[in-house]
Amino acid sequence: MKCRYKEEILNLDMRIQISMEKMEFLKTHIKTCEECRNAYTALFLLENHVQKEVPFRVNVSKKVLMNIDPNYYKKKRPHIILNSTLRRIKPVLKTACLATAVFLVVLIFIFAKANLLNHSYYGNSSLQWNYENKGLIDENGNIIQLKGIMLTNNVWGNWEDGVSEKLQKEGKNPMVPPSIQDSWVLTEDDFNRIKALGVNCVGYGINYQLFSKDNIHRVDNIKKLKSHIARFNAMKIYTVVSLLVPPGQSSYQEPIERMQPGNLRTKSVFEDTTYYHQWVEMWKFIATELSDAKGLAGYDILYQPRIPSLKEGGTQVFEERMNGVCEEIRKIDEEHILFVQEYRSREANEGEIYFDSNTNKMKEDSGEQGIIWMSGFVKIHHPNIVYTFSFYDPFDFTYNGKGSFDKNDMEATIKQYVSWAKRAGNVPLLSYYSIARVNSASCRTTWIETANALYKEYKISAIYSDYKSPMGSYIDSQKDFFSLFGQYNTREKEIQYKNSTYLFINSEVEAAAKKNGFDVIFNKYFDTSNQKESVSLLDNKIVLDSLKKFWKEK
Amino acid sequence: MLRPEQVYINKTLLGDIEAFECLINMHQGQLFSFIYKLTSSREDSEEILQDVFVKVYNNLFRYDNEYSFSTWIYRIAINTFKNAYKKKKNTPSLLFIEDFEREFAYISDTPEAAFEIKEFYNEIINLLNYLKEDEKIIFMLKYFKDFTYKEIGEVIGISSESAKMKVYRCKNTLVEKYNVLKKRGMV
Repeated sequence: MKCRYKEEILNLDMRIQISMEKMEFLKTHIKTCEECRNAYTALFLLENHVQKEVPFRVNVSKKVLMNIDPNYYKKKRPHIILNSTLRRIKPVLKTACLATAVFLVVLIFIFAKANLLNHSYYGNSSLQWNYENKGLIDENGNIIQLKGIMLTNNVWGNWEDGVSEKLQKEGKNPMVPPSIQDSWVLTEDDFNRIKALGVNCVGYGINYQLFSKDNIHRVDNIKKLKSHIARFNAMKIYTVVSLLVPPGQSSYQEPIERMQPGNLRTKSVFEDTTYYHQWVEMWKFIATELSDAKGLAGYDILYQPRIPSLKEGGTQVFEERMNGVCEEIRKIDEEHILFVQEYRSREANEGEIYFDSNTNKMKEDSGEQGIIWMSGFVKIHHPNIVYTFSFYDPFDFTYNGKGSFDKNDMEATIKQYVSWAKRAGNVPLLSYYSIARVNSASCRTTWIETANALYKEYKISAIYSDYKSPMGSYIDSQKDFFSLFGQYNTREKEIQYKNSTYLFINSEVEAAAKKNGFDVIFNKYFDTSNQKESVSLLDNKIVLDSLKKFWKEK
Repeated sequence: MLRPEQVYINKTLLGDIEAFECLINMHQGQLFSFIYKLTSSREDSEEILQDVFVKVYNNLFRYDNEYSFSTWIYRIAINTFKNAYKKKKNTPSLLFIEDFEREFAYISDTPEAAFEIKEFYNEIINLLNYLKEDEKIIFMLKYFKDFTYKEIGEVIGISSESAKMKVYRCKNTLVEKYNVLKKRGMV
């Protein structure tokens, strides 16, 4: 049949009334189209024929009743009772089955997700290491390379009159780590600035004092930390809570204390049991408070740790305690990532050769526990660990502005980390990196771009250190300044307005400013009547532009 | 309020055999016609019909009243018919024109004309024999029982869309065969 009205005829139900208009059309068409006429005739006759009932002559009911058991439904047969019961409870059963099915689906989803995220790990964290894809994955299952900036806040310490002088006389670091986070650290402007950077992560530096058990402000401090994590989360920025200053020895005090023999230095969490327990207690408190914090990437348990000498336990105690603190956190928070840093140095054992900073000569250790600068990881026996390392290669260049850098040498260092990570089971890596202002802005940019290219190539997450640091007459603005932004908080103490000019308040301050290179910085970036604008990008525009490009790159 | 049919079903399940007799009386006429159109044999149809009602009785406790009782009973009828003819290993012819002879007589005034018409109808009805067994069943369900495509789907165990497609194909086959006969001058 070739007529285009074939379907119309075939779909026509003779018993259903169709519109007069359509019927008229079909009647007209049938008159002129033989094929459709034949089809209509055949179907009309067949349908009419099939519709007719055949005269029924015999009532089968009697025969049927003779062949059935009339008492079949009078007897309480178990299968009939069961069926009848099931029929009665069917509506409830249906709902229950549906609820069970939903429950099972959710359960399967949770288990499948947990299995996908980590073979031996169950949880609902926003960020996890995926062993199969060899990458960090976010809550949507997307692979993510953390790219961020470190917020060191003012965790390192402030000069406190009456206390700092005493510490200085004792040959210790006079800057006192704060027990309350200063209000200037993260202002509304800071959040806006960080949002504009394009980072997907921030390292949130903390010190032990902020969350120590005996700090009466620790509840307020944790509330503030929570609110900041939530704020960053709203900006789609993950937060890594990073312990920069632990109880006891820290990398911050280290430059001063390294000059002393080991037995006179402040002990570390690996050498002193009290410090160790304080360290554990602090993390347990933080983990308890943050275990359900959305947007929390995890906890970096200790910044730049040092292995004690063999006399004080050596590598064994180091590994035990690093694993110990991780285990304690895991008991509370099974989900969030634990960031574990490489050790950056080791105290020499008796008879070992080390470089003596006091004499600038190599020396055989005779029990004084000299510092050997070497790095490496210890394996943590828990899931969902990201191993972190500080990258300042070559050190003399990035810290002191001496010499230059070579891309191949930098790559060789990175490859060592990558090689270890591969041997350890393709574990993830995150790098903290930075370069001091002692190098020119263009020099810093080139080094940063080289490092970023390596991070990209080797799929290493990277946190640039730092976002913002205080500046002033008494702060080294060259070798000790690594931040993008400088904030001049002590202006009122150091600057006076005289003869329509801003001047240092006295010759002592002026001398300190000159010594630290702050006089030039002040004139160039902070010599303004608008004291509210105390934050400056300094000469970091090209550095920032380069970093922004890296941060925003997918 | 329950439909009378459901009342009889409930009473039967409580042991009221008279209620089941009512159910038989409600359905046997149509069901016989349906089976007869498949078997073309009164004896076979009566036998199958008895079997159908015995099965209906013995399995009534399984009937789910969320579905139409008609579709349930026709499903049993089709299965019983298929089993019966599987045993006989032949497919019945659908040539049962003799039952309509009286009707044809009213159509024409002359015996010659009546014969011609009878022959014509004979050929037309014979077209149904070109359909496969399942196709015949579907065609019957649609045009004898007037089931919707959804109900046909429930009886056969297919989707309503598939049922609609199958009915369309049946009609297409019938029309194609009719055209062939027409070209040969046989109708």
